[in-house]
Amino acid sequence: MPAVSLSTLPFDVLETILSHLDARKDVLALSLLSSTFRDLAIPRHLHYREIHCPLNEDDSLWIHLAQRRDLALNVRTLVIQRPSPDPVCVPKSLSPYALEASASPRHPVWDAVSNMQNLRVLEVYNGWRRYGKESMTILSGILGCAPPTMDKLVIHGLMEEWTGMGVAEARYVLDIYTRAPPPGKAKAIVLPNTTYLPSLQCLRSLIVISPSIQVLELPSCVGYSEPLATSFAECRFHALRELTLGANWKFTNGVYVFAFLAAHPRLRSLSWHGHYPGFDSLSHSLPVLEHLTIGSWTFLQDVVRGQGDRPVLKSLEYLSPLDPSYIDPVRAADSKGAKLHTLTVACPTLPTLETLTILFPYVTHLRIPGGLSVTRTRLPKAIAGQFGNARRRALLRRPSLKDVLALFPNVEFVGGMTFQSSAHMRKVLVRFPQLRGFDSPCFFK
Amino acid sequence: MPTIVSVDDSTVPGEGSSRLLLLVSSDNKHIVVEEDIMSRSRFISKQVEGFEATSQRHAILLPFSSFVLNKVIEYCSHYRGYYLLEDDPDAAPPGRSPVREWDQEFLDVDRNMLLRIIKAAHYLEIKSLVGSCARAIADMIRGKTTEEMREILGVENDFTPEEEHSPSSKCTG
Repeated sequence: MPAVSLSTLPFDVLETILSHLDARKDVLALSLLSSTFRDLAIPRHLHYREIHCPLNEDDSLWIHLAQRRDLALNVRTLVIQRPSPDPVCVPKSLSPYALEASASPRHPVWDAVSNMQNLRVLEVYNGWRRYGKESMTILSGILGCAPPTMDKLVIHGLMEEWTGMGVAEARYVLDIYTRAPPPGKAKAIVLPNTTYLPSLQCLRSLIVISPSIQVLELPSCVGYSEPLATSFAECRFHALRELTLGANWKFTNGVYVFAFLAAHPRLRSLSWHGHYPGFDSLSHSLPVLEHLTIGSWTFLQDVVRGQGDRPVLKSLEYLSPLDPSYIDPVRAADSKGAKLHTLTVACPTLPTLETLTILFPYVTHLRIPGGLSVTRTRLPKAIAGQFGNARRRALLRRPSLKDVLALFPNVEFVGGMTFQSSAHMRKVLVRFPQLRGFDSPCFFK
Repeated sequence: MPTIVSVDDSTVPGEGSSRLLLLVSSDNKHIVVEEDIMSRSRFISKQVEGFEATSQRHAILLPFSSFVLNKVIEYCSHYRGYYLLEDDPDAAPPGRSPVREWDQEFLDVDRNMLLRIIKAAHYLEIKSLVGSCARAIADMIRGKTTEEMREILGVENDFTPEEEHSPSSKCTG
């Protein structure tokens, strides 16, 4: 039988195949196959995969998408921006279509979102005071129209916009979260960057309406009062796998974070940029954690100790360039994180790496954001006073690539390096034959 | 264009609990199949409606081989009596076909066969099968470079040298 080419398939079959490719990268690669694919994929798919646009007053984009369901089906990411000079990303083929204003009292953005039956990510910026009281209804309507395919819902907002709202308005926003069905469908939720007073209640509401959230980001804990925070421990999402906590989840809130973590022993990924006060009982709380982003040495040690003889931690981002525990480094006998193969350390000193290599000797991918010799680190005042100049210098010593490779003999890829030129990079690779390459990004001076 | 030839009553026994259809493939193989099985195909359903209007029974000539036709019949037989949203002419078309485990095993065939099945499914207007084939093809090319896709799908590069070097053809979007 003669071979069949994809180009010979009818237009609507090719359209169906394209509808199964979500990533713009894949659509672009397909559009470069031939002129047939270019003419089909670029105007109908590539331009529609991601749309970033404010709620325009002329509503032309939304009317267009409300009327053209076939094109709205091709949208995967919709970002409704705040009115600002941010660059918009809208389909270029918008103008040829005749647009007629709808007489319906419904906002056209609702119909547009209803038509996006393949939508994956919906991001809404909530700073819409300029739209007046109706803006809350519009937001509520958008959330209500979002399809079940949605994996991620992000509701942004800035502190100044929220603090200007007042408690009553903030509670109204909470009502939207509580009543709107889409969060129940979304697999990931990112709450506003500004968590005003109702945030915790908001979190508790989410448990009721969307208990199967798998990914949760709580960027801020501003406004939590202590009695409310005790309720944090009662929050339990049975399917939660990934948790990200922002930088201001600090000491006081650490107690509640601990309680929250203890309630979620099946967490696979945790990112916490705040301070960790240290709790012994945490050592049994996270037995299946695979990806950890943390700035606290105590927390890291607790997690590694908690996983015992069956370590599953695969990647670690260690955010602190310096830690007081260097004064009393761990012993080789403590080495338990044998499975860890990807290690990211921000601007480490040589003692930091020496300590980490004891815990994680089998790292193959080492990432060093900012490179090996970029920033100057200072010792905390409390510690600096205890040492003489020579000891202080030793604690702050920067590692060279040679030091790094001597400490981590299994490393095959190093990231975040700076080179004078590509020729320099090649020379380095020749000099260190155990290195198979540089994990991007590499920078040239 | 559908091609229809008249057949004798003896060839296609039309009476009984489930009527039979005679399908003729491009390699001239005659396949008798229950009408109920092929009711998922809107093309066949329209043909049958036409037969009822003229009170004549016909064989339906199809422009693909018996091998491909048998695969399509196997698919229709498996989903006999099942309701699939994509095949409902009255339902709003869903965004795209859901993942069905049996379909994935059924479509574990080589690229040429997959393209033949999707072509046949499109001709017969079986949307659920078109959707499943499209998903299988998309799975084959997801994450691949243009050159790798070209190899997998057998698509020739028909860009002119000017188009190849034009930034607009490469970096649009």
